[in-house]
Amino acid sequence: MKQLLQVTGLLLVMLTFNSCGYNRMVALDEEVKSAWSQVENAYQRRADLVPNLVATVKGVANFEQETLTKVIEARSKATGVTIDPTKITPDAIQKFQEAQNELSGALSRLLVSVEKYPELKANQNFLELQSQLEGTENRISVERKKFNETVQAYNTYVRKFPANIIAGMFGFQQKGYFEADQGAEKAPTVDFGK
Amino acid sequence: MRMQFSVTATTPAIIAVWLLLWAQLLFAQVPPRPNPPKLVNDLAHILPDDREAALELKLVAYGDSTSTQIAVVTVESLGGDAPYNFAQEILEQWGVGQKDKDNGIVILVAPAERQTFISTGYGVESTLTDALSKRIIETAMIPNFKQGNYYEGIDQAVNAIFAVLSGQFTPETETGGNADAFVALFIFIIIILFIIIIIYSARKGGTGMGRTYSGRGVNNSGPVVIHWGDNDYGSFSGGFGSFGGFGGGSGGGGGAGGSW
Repeated sequence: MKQLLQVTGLLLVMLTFNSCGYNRMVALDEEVKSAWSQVENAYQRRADLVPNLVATVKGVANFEQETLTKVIEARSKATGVTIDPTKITPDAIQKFQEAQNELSGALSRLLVSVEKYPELKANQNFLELQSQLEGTENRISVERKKFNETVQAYNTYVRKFPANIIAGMFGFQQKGYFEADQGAEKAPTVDFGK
Repeated sequence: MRMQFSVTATTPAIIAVWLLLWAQLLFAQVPPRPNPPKLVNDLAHILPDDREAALELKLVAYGDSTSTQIAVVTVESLGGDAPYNFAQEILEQWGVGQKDKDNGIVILVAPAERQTFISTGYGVESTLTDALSKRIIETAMIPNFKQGNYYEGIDQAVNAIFAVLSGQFTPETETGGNADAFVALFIFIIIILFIIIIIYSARKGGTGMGRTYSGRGVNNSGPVVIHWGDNDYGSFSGGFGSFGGFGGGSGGGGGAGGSW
C-alpha cells in the first residue's frame, strides 16, 4: 500500500512537471537571456561610439568642455552597470536603465550644443558618427521592445497556475521590463539633423 | 513572503508595461504580409504599374541569385509610428530575408508623411551600414522624391544597395541548400544501386524482371528529385519571375531614414 502511494506520488510529480511546463520555463528563460544579450549589445555599441564622437567634437575649436566631460562620465558610469543575465530582476533593470538614461541625456545635450558649431555640422566625419548614433538609438529601442516581449511571455507563463508552483519551487522569478521614459524610448532626441 | 512582496511591488509596473505594449500594438499597424508574396508593395500607389512590375522582376532576380531579399513598401500612412519602427516591424513580421542569414532589407516610403527608411536585417547591417544607408537616401532618394519621381528614387536606391552588397552573399551560398540536396540524391542513388546489385547477385544470372525493374528505378529517381528542388522555392515549374515567398529573416532596427 505504502509503495503504491509512493509510486503514484512519483508519477504525479512527473506529470505535474510536464503539465506545469518546467521545460517550457527553461526555454522561455533562455529566450529572455538571449534577448537581453542583444539589448546589451545595442547599448555597448552606443558606448563604443562615444570616444570617437568626443574626439571628433573635441577637434573643433573651444567646444564646451563641460558637456564633453559629462558625456565621458556618463559613459563610464553606464558601462559600469551590468546585469547578471541569470538575475534580470525588475530592480536590476531599473538601475541599468537609469545609468543608460544618464548617458542618453548627456549625449542629447551634446548634440544640441553642436548646433552652435556650423563647422561641425559640415564635418563629414561627424555626420557619419551622427547617423551611426541615430541607428544605434533605433537598435536600442528595437531590442528593448523585443526584450520586453520575451519577458512578457516568460512572466505570463511563470505566473499562471499551476506553473507558478513549479516556478516557485525552482526559483523562476519574475523578470523586469524596460519602461517607457524620456531616455531611449524617444530615439528622436538624436534625430535633430535635417 | 518575499515573492508576495515582489508581486505587489511590480504590479503597477506590469500594468504600465501592458499599456505600453498595447500602445505599441496600436501604433505598429504595419500592413499584413502580401499574399501571394510580393517584393514590391506599392500600397500608396505612387509607382506606375509597368515600372512596379519591372522593379519586382529585378528584385526577384536579385533574390534568386543572392538569397538577399529587398522589399519595397510604400504606405499611405505610418499611423503616427516612427519610420524606423514601422520598417523594422515590416521586416520582422513579414520575415524579409532568409531565416538563418537575416539578409533582408525593407525600403519604406511614406509619401504623405514625406518620410523614408531603409531597415536592414542583422545579416546585412555590417555591410549596408547605417551611414551608407543614410548616404543612399540622401543621394538617390531625397533629390528624386522632392520632384515626385518616386520610381526613379527607389530604383536608384536599389541599384546602390546592389552595389554595396555585391560580393557579400554570393550565389554560391544560396545553392548551398541545393548542393546538400544533390549530395543526398547522390547517396540515395548509390544506395539504390547497391540494393539493385545485391538483388542481382542474389538472383545469380539475373532474370528479365530484375533488369527492367532496376532500369525504371534509376530513371525515375533522377527527375523526381530535381523537381523537389524547384518546389522548395514555392513556385510553379522553375518559377521565373515570380517571388517564392519571404524567408523569415529578422532585424534589429539598423538602417537609416530621411525626410524630404
